Amino acid sequence: MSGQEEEKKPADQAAHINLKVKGQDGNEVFFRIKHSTQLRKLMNAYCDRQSVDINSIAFLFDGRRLRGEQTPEELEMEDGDEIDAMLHQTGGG
Amino acid sequence: MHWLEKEHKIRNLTARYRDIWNANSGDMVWEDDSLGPSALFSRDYFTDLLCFRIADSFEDVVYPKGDPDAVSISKRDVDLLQPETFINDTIIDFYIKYLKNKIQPDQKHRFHFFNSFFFRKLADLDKDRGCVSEGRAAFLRVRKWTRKVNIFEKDYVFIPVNFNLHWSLLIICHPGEVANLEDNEIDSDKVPCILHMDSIKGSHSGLKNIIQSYVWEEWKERHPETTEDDSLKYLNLRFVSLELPQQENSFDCGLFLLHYVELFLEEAPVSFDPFKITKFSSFLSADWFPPAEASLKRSLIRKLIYELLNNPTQKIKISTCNKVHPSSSGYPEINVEQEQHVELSAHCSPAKGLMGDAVCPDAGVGNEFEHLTSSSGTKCDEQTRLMLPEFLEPGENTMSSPEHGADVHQHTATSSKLLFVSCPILEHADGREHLSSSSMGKEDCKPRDGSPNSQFCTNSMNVTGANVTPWSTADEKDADTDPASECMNSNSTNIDQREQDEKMRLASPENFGYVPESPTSSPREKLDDFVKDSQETDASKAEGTDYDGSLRTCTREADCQIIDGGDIDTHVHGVSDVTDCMVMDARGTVDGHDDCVELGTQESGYGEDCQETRSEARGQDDNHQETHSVDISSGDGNCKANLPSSFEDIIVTDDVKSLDKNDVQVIGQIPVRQPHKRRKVTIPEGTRMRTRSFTRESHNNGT
Repeated sequence: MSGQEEEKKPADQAAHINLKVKGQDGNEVFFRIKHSTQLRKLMNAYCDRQSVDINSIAFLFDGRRLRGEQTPEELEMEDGDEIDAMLHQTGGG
Repeated sequence: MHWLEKEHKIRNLTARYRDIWNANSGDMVWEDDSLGPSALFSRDYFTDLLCFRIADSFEDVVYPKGDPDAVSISKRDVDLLQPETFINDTIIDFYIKYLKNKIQPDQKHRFHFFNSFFFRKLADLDKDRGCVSEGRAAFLRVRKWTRKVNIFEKDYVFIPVNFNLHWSLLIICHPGEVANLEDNEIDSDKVPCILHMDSIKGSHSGLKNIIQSYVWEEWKERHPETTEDDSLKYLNLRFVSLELPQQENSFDCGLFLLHYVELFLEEAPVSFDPFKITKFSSFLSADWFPPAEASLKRSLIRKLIYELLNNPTQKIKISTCNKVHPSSSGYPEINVEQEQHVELSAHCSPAKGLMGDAVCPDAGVGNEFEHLTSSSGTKCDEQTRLMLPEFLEPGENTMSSPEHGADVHQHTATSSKLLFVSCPILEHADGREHLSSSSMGKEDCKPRDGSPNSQFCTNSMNVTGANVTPWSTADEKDADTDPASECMNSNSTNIDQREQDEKMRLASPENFGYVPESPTSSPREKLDDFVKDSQETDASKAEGTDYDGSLRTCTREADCQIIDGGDIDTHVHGVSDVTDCMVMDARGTVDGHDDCVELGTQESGYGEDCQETRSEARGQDDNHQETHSVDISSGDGNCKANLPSSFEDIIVTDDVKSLDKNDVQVIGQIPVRQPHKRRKVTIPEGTRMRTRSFTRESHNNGT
């Protein structure tokens, strides 16, 4: 399906990348996002769709924690990259 | 539960404190100029102001700034450093980052720190709970994590482990040496092994295989030429569960993890051999450090974060935190200029006598009363300690310089030492003090002393050389009274006393074992209280205390507001996103469409957007058969209820409103939810709200 999108909008190719957000339950959501867009948008959209509180989720890319103000550009994300959405962990004993 | 009880007590106090405030606010003497203006305003104004400060003074701290891998700490995270609270991955990762940055530059290459999600991702505990998945599959999940790092070049690789609401730590030592192992014989000093450090030993089991096979898979990945013969070396890599200082409560394991890391880094032997652990020192042994040391980290880390907050350049004096853990030997040295403070604080707090008694077995008179006091002290203390330092902190921080706080620990340590030295001399006077304070305690904080704390403590501060403390004087002088203010006094006193007590114990752990009724968690509150002392305006302390009652409530309110605010914020975000979003439901279910129409009519103001959305939707529709567009118009909960979760197929979220039209598009989703859930989701608002509150609740419960 993302392939169709790409075909459909070749003009956008340069500006956009497709990212996959993978939840801990294996659930995957695909996003198409501009290189220069802050990931906050993606995070919000994801949490909204999953009906989860954004504060309960940590987003990771290649093991690095993501922050809302980062952009795919500065993280050197590429088309098809995968972001992990993981629940925050807590523990005391 | 325990906590509920305490909370209840605190709430009870709230009312009392309000009374005091009402009674005293007029004639309160403000010694600190910065607080002056507050006296001009009504109590409400000031409390509001304080609330405001606490709630808003905290922006997210990003550490280390400019690092792509930085950790962002929110107030929510810092709140987890309150007493008896579980700490989360953010705090863990933050502090590990901090420790990492403290390492000498030429040493940094020797270590690698995985963040706290590594293990969870590797073990994928969420998918198949309990059973650890097969090595290769596990490795593939974290394959990219080491894209830029070769763990086999490291001396030590740190892996925080979290599951079952418990934290522990794995350290892979000299992984690069495994390849050089010849038939399990060790050639070099560097003995490859995996260390497991658990503050409740035995609670995290089953780590061995998964970590061994991870190392093996990682090696294979980098050395494709490796033969399977080598696998045994890796899969039999020595796994050592260390006997370490254990937590004495059920909430400090995260702090132990951090303390293990910190102390390990301090030694960080060039070559490590697990067989030598017990031979040479306490390093990595059961008496590596006194357990309270780890518990103390709670307040230290919080201070650290506030320092970062107030110090945007993030150039924290390393010394500040070197003191954090006085290594196993004792407390750091005090420099001369601080001695003054030490003296001051020693004399200022009437508790010193108690202190002396507590630590000097032969302090005759005092001993009799020790019991009474400590029991009443415990009571009051328990009530107070929860609210005093923790909630005052943010406000206080805005008023005082951050370094100050750190110094205090030294003061405390010293003052207890001083006391220890001089206690036989003090003995007699101490007895008297004891009497008065303990009797107050006995009466359960019954009113007797009407003087505001400020006066009271100022008095005591003035007494510098002599051992006379104003307890008795004050008692008599102000025998007529005002409820609860005394309670406060005795509370703070007790805290001082207990604090010193605790400190004393810490300062010389080998001499003084743990007193069972004193929870390990206490030192940090004591410390915090002492921080206030260190401001040397006990007036401000007193005033701080006065606020506590109302502060407590209001902090709670503030918390709620924050949470709510957060929610609202998210909500608003969500809404705005939704507003900007166009969702195309490829299944084109009728009810979805209906809902939408309804919404559309409700939100006529956004008609234009909807139109726009729709037309654009059509434009993109072509690829999807039977596509209906679902317009999400603004600001309506109903609308949102339509959006999430249950769309099974292709969904395009489009950003219509913003300038960046195609900023974020959800272009597809691999389904996980059952189709029938759709019904639920279309129920407006209720569902969503419930989800949210669940989230919040579970969040709270979890912490």
